[in-house]
Amino acid sequence: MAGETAGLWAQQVVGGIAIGCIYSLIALGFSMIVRAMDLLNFAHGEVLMLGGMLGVTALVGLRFPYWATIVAVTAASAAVGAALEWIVFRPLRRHRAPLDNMIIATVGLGIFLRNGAILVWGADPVRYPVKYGEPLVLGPVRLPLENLWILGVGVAAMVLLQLFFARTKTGVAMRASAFNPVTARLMGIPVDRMNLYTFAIGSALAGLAGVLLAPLLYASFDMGSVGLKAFAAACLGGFGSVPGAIVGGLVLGVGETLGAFFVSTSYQDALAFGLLILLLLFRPSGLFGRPQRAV
Amino acid sequence: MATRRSRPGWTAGIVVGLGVGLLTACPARAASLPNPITIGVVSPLTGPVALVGKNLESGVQLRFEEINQAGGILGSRLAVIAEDDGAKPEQSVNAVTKLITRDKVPAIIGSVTSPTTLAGMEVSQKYETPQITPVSTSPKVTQSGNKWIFRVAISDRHHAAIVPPFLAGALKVKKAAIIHVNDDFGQGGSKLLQEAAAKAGVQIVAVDSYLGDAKDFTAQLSKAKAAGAEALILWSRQADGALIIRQAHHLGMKMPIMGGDAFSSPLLVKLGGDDVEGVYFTTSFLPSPEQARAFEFDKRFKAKFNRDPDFAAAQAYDAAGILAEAIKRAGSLDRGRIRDEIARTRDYPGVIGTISLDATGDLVIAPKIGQVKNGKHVFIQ
Repeated sequence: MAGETAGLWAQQVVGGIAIGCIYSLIALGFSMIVRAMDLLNFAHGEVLMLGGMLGVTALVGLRFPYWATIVAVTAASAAVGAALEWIVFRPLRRHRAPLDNMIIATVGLGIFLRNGAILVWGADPVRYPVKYGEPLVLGPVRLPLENLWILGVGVAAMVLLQLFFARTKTGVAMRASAFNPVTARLMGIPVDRMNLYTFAIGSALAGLAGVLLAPLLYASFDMGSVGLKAFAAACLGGFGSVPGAIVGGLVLGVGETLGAFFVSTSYQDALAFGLLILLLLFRPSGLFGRPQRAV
Repeated sequence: MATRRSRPGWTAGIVVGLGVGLLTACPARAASLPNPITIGVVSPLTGPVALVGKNLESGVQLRFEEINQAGGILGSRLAVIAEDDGAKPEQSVNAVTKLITRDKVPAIIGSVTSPTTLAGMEVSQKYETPQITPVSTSPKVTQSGNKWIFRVAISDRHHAAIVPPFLAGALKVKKAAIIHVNDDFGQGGSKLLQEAAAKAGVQIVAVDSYLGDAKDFTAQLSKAKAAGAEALILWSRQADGALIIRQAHHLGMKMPIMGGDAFSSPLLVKLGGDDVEGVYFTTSFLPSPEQARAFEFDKRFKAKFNRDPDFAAAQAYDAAGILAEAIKRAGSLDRGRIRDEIARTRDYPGVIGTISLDATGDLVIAPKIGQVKNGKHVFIQ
């Protein structure tokens, strides 16, 4: 009986980690953009949706294999992010638009992307034509292969990102301009271009999350709503913190699955957000947040 | 309430009555009707149940087109003005308000999900405009005392009633678990299922719910599995239902799975693929050669729209026919009179069966049981 309970626990944790990994990927992009520009990008979930839908085009229209779809969509999403920065946010900054207005602009951009997706791909959800085969059976735990894909690709992306920030000149320059744009500019760092990179990388992560998430559910114009959970995950981990975004996503994912199993399924979301509020009461800037900076 | 009337009142009543009778009988009256007569359709054209919403609208379009080819009604053609409610109650309220106050439609057909219909029909009642839902199955729709709402869909009272006896009889199931979406449709269905299970001798070992936009059902399914369920009853819609079924298979749950009429839609197979093979469901409509009217409708729908119809299309087609008949009998676009004539619908030859509406405006037809076999929906009982 004890073994059975342990198995049930493990099964919940496995399910929670997979969905948590998705939250982490989206939260990472959120956090990067907040850190670099103090900008809460509410269109971020829609970039994820765009990734999911572009994946449909790659898989069904162009008959790409899944791995190539992942690469292509990540690259395309980076281009989309760069374009958004260049067309929408850079002019707004140039015109010294107040931050509040820029945040509202992200909301509008989100609505625009959602409706655009309906025009291009239609309003019906689409099943991802990816064949995975039987789940892996490890003792009492069954591990669906799509969860393994999420875990593998998600972790690889996060590790690469850390290496990029720690080891490359561009990565260090991006961190510097996020930390203090004025000083960075004085040191000869092209801050505008760093912002462009931030948007591109953040959006690439969101698009990647979309193409990894879609086989778990469907690709549809409204799949960006998962962005709200990721927003909470970023909050939980502390806005602007890269490890915070990763841990926040995983804690939220595992927390809501365990809560649903051991407390009540009717209050799954209430439990997840209750956890968030409770944590913020004790650590107002999140698990890894920097208290000095107000967002 | 006055039980006796004075003599002048009596005569006035007769005069008014005769006057109305003469007006309706007079053919010149019909000629002054607008052409076309525009009927409002409210359904989700975006969102997870968009295909069902589109089928609803197409069903109405097809019926109206056939009526128009046969000369229309009262000398006018019938036309549709469609509004999207996105399967959201607040959007449904706006859509119905717009159709009644701006487009001045004499009647409304829609919507799909029970929460949206329950919200929209409040507006119909406020403006005293008849509304027929061809899809929403929550018992609350017709039990709320709103006399402006009618239903050409089988209530969950009847759907839920046949599920446990089927599980107990044909599949020899003694313990079952219920997983339902946490809204009017799912909660109502779950309650009815539990009552029916008690009568049929099926023990319900777990009841769990989820919010409409949930994506991970590990917790709900693990609970059902741990409780020793031999069958899974899902009171869900197509997209969430297909996801739950796939995740159940991932968890190694090979037990029979059964749902309501939402699962009789081709959308379930489109989204669920191989995973929904063998799933049982209750329904009003499946085209087969033995059911001549359904079979003919299926062919005409495919010819026009190049896709398979579902229960929503069939029921909407019948709702549109019933409404047209009622307008014809009413002889005018008076909303109150159209309402009364819809209420008088008896033995209408619909594609889902012979339709009569009861005192609450509800359909009296017994649902049937079907199964997904080789990616097709077929009747088994």
